[in-house]
Amino acid sequence: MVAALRTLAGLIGFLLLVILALAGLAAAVFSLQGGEETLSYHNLAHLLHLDDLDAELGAWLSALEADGPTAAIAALAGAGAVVLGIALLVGALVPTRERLIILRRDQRGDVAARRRAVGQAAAALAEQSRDVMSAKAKVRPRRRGAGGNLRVTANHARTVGNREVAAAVRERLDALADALSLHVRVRGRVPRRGGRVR
Amino acid sequence: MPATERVRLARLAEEAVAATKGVAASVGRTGVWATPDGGRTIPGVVAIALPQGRVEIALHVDAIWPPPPLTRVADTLRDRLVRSAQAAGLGDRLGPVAVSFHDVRAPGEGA
Repeated sequence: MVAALRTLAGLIGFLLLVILALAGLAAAVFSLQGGEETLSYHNLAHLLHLDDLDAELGAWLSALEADGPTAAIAALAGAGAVVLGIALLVGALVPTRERLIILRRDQRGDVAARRRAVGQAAAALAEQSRDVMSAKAKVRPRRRGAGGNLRVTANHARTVGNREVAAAVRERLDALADALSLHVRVRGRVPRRGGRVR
Repeated sequence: MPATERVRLARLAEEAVAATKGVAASVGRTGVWATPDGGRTIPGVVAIALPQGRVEIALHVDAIWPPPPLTRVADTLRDRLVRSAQAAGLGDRLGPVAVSFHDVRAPGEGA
């Protein structure tokens, strides 16, 4: 069901973009000439049976065609729209590549892990610690070289302090951190009243 | 038709993954991490022919819960592949072997 809705949303989004692109193309083509010429906004409004709109916007369109501040603002807006369009195309077409955590790099080849895999392992280890009810782990790979930063938030009972819990979790994570060259930060906290615990 | 050295090495890599405890091959969400082998594909193995006649192998695997020490598993996988490649007379063809862990999976859970 959700997959079907996602497909439908994608399809509608695509169709809206096509309509927007066609409208933009028409606006660009019909801006080639001014006055009442074939490729003018006045003629475009006439072709679309929007004569009333043309009557209302006629003065503004004339200002747009002539040299002046209105035309300059329109040119700037057009250039901005082109830049935005290129940025959107890059965002849509250039594939993203998830940064992996490099565990080791040598001439034999890389050993790497996805952030999710390391995060799950770290959260599981943290949850093995006494007094920890649930844990969340976030991993960020280093930009260069092996390893990364691991941030763990451990939810615990009120009966123990944040520091004690953080120290216990850190101890649990020591082996993992050493093996994967991770810089570990642990935060202990008591979940809010009514907060969910996994 | 005899298989190319690239495909033969990919098959050996598949066997190395299958024989190693704590990991399972992963093809990724879009199924791109695989090597065509006649009428089937070898999952989790990408074999790339290098210019010098060698073949680089990229292994894409999931760790099986509870997650084993990842670097040790990677070493086991590599050593196993190197040994089987040498036994098959392909030792000098095997290039770098990259290992990527993509997920932690429950035992028996499919890719």
